[in-house]
Amino acid sequence: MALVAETITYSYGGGSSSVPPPEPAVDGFSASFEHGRVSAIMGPNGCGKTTLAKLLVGILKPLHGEVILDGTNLVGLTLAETGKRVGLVMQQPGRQLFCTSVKDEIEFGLKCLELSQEETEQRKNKYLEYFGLQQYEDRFPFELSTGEKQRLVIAAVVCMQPDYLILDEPTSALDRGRKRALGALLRRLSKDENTGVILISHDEWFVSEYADGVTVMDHGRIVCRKESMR
Amino acid sequence: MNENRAIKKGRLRILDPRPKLMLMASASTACMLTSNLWYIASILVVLVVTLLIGGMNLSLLWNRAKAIFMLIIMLFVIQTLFFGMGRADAAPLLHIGGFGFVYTGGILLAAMLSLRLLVIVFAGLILLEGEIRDYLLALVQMKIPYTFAFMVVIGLHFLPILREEATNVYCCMQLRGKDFKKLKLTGKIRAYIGICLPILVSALRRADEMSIAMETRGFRSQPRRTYMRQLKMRGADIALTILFPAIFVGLYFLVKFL
Amino acid sequence: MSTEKRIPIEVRNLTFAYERDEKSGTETTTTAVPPALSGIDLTIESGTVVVLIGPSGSGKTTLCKCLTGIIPKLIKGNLDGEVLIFGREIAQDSSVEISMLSTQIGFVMQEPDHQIVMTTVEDDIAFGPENSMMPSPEIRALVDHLIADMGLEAKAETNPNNLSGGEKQRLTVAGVLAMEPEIMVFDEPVSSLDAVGKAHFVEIVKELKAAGKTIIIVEHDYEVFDFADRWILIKDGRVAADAIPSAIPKTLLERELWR
Repeated sequence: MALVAETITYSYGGGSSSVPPPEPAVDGFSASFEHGRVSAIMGPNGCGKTTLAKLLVGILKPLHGEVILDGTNLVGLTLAETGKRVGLVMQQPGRQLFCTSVKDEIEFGLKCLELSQEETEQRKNKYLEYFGLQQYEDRFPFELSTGEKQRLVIAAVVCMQPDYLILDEPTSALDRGRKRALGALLRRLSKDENTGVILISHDEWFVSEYADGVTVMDHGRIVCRKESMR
Repeated sequence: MNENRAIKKGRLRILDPRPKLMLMASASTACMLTSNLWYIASILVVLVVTLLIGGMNLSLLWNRAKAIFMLIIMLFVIQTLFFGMGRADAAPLLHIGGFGFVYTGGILLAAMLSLRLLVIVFAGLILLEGEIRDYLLALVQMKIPYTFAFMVVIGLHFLPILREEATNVYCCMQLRGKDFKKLKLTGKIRAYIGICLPILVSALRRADEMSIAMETRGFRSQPRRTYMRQLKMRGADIALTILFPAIFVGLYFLVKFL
Repeated sequence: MSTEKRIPIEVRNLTFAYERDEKSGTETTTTAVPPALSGIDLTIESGTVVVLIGPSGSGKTTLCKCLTGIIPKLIKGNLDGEVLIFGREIAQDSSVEISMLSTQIGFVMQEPDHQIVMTTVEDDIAFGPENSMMPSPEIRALVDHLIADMGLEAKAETNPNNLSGGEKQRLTVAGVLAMEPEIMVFDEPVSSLDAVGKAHFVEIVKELKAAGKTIIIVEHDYEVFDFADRWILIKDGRVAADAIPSAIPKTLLERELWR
């Protein structure tokens, strides 16, 4: 059981025939992301990390190759079906919030999972507290600071307890204390709840501290891979 | 540099924005001033010919405006079918179960409205063959107050960003488990309103922050501003600016006396 | 005035609290919120690089907004105390407008998308100088110079919407540098950049310092700026430490930032 990318390739544009197709953003990428591990993907800005994240949940469809989620090809699943099993936290937290209160934002996913009232309430309180958002419960998400928005987006995705969790630059607006809290949470999720965490980041400290293995990308290809950080 | 652009982008692209603005203004005014079908049709022909000479081919035209063309066709059909229903002074061309459909007057009216819409769409397509930055300069050089010109330009600049944000929110909602395909109509409508809310809020916030950013960079600190680039009308640009309205006036009299 | 040594920034006993409109039922009341800044005293000398450090919500960004006049001119609240830019009081004096400060103090805010005004890279850099009525040939020369400095040569006529995050960030820096302000304020300039981008930004800051500019940087990733003249630790709206980087005890930073 794993989230597997098999030689996936993707390139943007190429819509009009007069312009030559650009260099692929992801080029023949293969990897297997397993349960219970924090797998990091690193690389410079523009190396294709964000495109890879979108391919792994099916927002983008690979031009070649396929993404297999626990044995099922992503092509056969709707975004909603994939989303319940693979959580994605993208960059720019402000663009991922759409509810009228912090509380609703977290409940949105839980309601889609059709959990019991009790369970919803309990998970909501747990993650509000973990991310230090309980005093903002009734606030409008757009009023929060960037760091608070980032924590809220992570909380809203993590509370759905997906089998796999993909985080794209989750630490960019976090201060050190919050980074450490997030790192500890990722470690706990992978060890205790057997979640497969895919951490996309160029924060070297964060990756070296909390990832089990790391893949380095450049120009859409894998440059090197390290299975263990020790 | 300019030569390069000419080869790559076609004739309409390198044309100064002023003849294009003039064409847009004169064509849409002319088509609103009369209800003569032949006249409106001839305006449309001038616009299409301009686009074709300007380097756009038909398939590209079709792709750009497919949705609008379909809408216009639909409006035409609906208006033809129902206009004048139940009127005593006209004879319907079609009878179904005691009701009369399709009147000559209806066809003519529908044709006129559709043609007018097409004129505006094609004039818009001609404007699309240009850079927003050039229209800004053109407006300013035509002595339009710069604050107003900037308002228009920044609005145009925002549209693609708003669309991108809407798609992003749509994806996020689905990834958090909302299945749009399974929703009933009312649920769908509610969900789409749910997409509009964050887009609206972020647009307002963005406008707010943008105005702060513009002010910290000295916007409106002076009654006038200078511009890095200057648009220069060449002979052909001046000629076309005069020629386009002249063509429409000429056509008007031609149609009137034929 | 020019014979005197001019001090770029002086802050005297600055206290500021945001106003928040609270909706309860049908009535909207303005409630007092705890101050974001309380009793800040700060003098920043010409040609220095100052890094503001502190946990989220400690008031760093608020302080920057006070220095640039955005508070209280555009964002209202309860402000006490004085902010002097080159000896001129800007916070209490209502005749001072932000657009007038633009050639003295430049502010690069967090979100690049909210600061890019124009539809091409070169036009956006030209936006500021155009506002201050610089003659066209001079703007052209300045813009070309900045584009080269920021490594954006290939993108001069690109729509900023199509730039990568790092490129957008460099564009916003260029846009503010084009105003040639004496003081530059950066709010989290490197947090979204990779190692190469960070190194490039550090080079820019060093060049600006060499050119005699005064620079204030708010950043979680403060170690990147170990060459700074001062690190100022802000905690709960107060200055908790203010010294050269090596003089600030590691244990203090640990305790305040790694909670």
